Amino acid sequence: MADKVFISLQNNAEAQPIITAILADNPAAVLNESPGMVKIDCPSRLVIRRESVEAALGRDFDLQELHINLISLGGNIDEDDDEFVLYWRT
Amino acid sequence: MSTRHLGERYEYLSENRVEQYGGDINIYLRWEKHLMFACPSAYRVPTAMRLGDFLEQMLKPDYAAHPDCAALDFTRCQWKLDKAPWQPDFDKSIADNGVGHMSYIEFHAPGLDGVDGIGY
Amino acid sequence: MAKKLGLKERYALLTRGLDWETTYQPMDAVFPYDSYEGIKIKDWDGWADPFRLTMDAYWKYQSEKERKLYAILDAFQQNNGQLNISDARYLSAVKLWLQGITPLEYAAHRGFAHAGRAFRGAGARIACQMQSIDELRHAQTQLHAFSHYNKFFNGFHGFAHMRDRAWYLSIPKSFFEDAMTAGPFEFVTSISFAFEYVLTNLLFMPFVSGAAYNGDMATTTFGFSAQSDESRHMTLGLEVVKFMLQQHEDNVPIVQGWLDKWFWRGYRLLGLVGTMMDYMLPKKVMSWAEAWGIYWEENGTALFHDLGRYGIRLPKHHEVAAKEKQRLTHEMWTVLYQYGNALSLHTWVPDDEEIAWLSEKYGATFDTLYKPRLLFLRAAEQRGERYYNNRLPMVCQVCQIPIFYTEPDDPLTQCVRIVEAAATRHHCCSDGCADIFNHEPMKYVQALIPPQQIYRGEAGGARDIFEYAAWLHLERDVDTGEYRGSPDQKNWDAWQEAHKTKPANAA
Repeated sequence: MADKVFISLQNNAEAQPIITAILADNPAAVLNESPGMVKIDCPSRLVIRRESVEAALGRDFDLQELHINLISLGGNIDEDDDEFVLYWRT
Repeated sequence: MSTRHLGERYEYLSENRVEQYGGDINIYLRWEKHLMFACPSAYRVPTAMRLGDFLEQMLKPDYAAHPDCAALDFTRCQWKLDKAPWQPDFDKSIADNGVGHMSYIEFHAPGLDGVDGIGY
Repeated sequence: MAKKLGLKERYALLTRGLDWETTYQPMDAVFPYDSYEGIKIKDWDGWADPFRLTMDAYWKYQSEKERKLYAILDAFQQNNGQLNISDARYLSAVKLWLQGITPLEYAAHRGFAHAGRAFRGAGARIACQMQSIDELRHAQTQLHAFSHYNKFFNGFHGFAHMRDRAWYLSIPKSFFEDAMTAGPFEFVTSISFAFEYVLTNLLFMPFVSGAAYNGDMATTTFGFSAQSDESRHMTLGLEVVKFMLQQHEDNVPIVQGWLDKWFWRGYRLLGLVGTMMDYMLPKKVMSWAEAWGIYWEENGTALFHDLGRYGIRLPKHHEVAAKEKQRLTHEMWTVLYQYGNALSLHTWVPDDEEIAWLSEKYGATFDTLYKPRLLFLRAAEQRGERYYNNRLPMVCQVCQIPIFYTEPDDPLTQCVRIVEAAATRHHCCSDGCADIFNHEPMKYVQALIPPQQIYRGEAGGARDIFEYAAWLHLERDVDTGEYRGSPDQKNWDAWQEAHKTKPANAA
């Protein structure tokens, strides 16, 4: 079984459109909820697309705004202006 | 192995060397199968003290809270000193029994296996 | 108007070419610390922050986080948020955080300031600078959040005084001082990678989620706010490890040695967090064994698989951690319980509902080995003979934890390893700690071990545990000891009663 990457976000109103976009763009992603937070696990690779978040949010979004509600993550990161990718090389 | 370092040398005395104890030593004891005392106990003792006096006067009161303590008879115990089998002579001093600074003594009292026999 | 630069270009402009080669003095004389550990660097430009955070973005998002945090802390204080926690017992976990973890945040601030000065690469220097500022923020926000509890509960008053004195705080303190006295590469590997990437998820995720579940809005808010910085630090940790491994094959065994050492030291430290989760949270979210399964066995090992391409293997003794996960917190809690006369927090025997939860989570191991212990302690307390162990314990020379761990394959026998250096015997709690000692004996013979300090007369002349507690500025049975019957419990019960009958803020 492929190792999972994960991203964890605060479970608040600001993070909801981000969570929605992640689940739509990563069909293999699984949402785990705990008090105050969510943890999204996904085999091998997970992508956050700026355009998808903007569509869910209804305004411009800078991917670095992720930092405000980000709790933790697991995986190598590749980030540019359009995509934030978490991945393992195994 | 050694620590990588800048400068000429990296050597230290032990912070707990025997010279820090003014003639006494620091020793440790554990009663096997009595985990109610979660850790081996630490003592500072004079080396000339009779071993039997140490056990009865300093060690035993520490175990008073345990229901097995009343039946604890040191003469019937099996002993280890620094992990090797050991036959103590209770009439001799701590030093004459070969107990040194930072020695670790373990003893097992046959038939006493802790609360409910679960080693606690 | 010129086109706005992309993220990668902005980061490159910040971290490439802004620094210079020194001419009055050779570079090696200006930066002596980044080579003596044996790490070989061919090209410092190989270092990159994958978040590509520039200073302007850093200030922008950090100030946003602070505004959110302080708005919530204000609301918490104005609305008597301390009355909304699940139970005052919960605060033992908060006290342990304040006493044990907050000083580590401050130590990390200092450590990263030093590491930033020691590295000659601009990318590394900027990453360390940001982290140093982050860590100072964490120490400050935690103190602000906890200061509200200090107005109402005991045991919060002496954290700074106790940091350099208390036996149980020498555990986290010695962890960080070991890291800070290493070179900058080992420091960053120990803190950013081994501690933050591999292990702090266990503290900031299940535990802080537990704080949310127990109604502690203050801790939840600073906890998650801090962890958003940690995710940057973790990423830095992974990048620095990859950077060292990519730069030269000679670096691989050095890095593996550090991963072995700091995995073990971090794991030992986290036993306290596991005990907070299993025993100190009145409403429980996840057991230590479950959290270890998710955050180490799944997420942590995935990371090591990723590093396998460089020849890195899982850290030594990880299998011992797996064997201990069913017993660690039960053993640790009974240690805190019995040495409760020298703790600035309360301990207690869990109630029936909590014991049932532990049974459900830990199964037969708990029912046969640990539940009878708790019931024995409860019966003693009900007879008026609340158990304390007032004899000083044997302590591990490396992790500085009292030696209560049992043999990996025998949960009824304490694990003691005898090591020798500088013509003196010392004791370790495990093969993991003995390995660390034997690798650098001259470092660890210098350790100040609290029970030994007491017996040498170096603890204010204290001769027993009560004089020692007084030297820590602890008031017996007020700050220390049993929860049931403590002033904290009596106040809590009275406030809850008053809260039911009067409107909020009318007290």
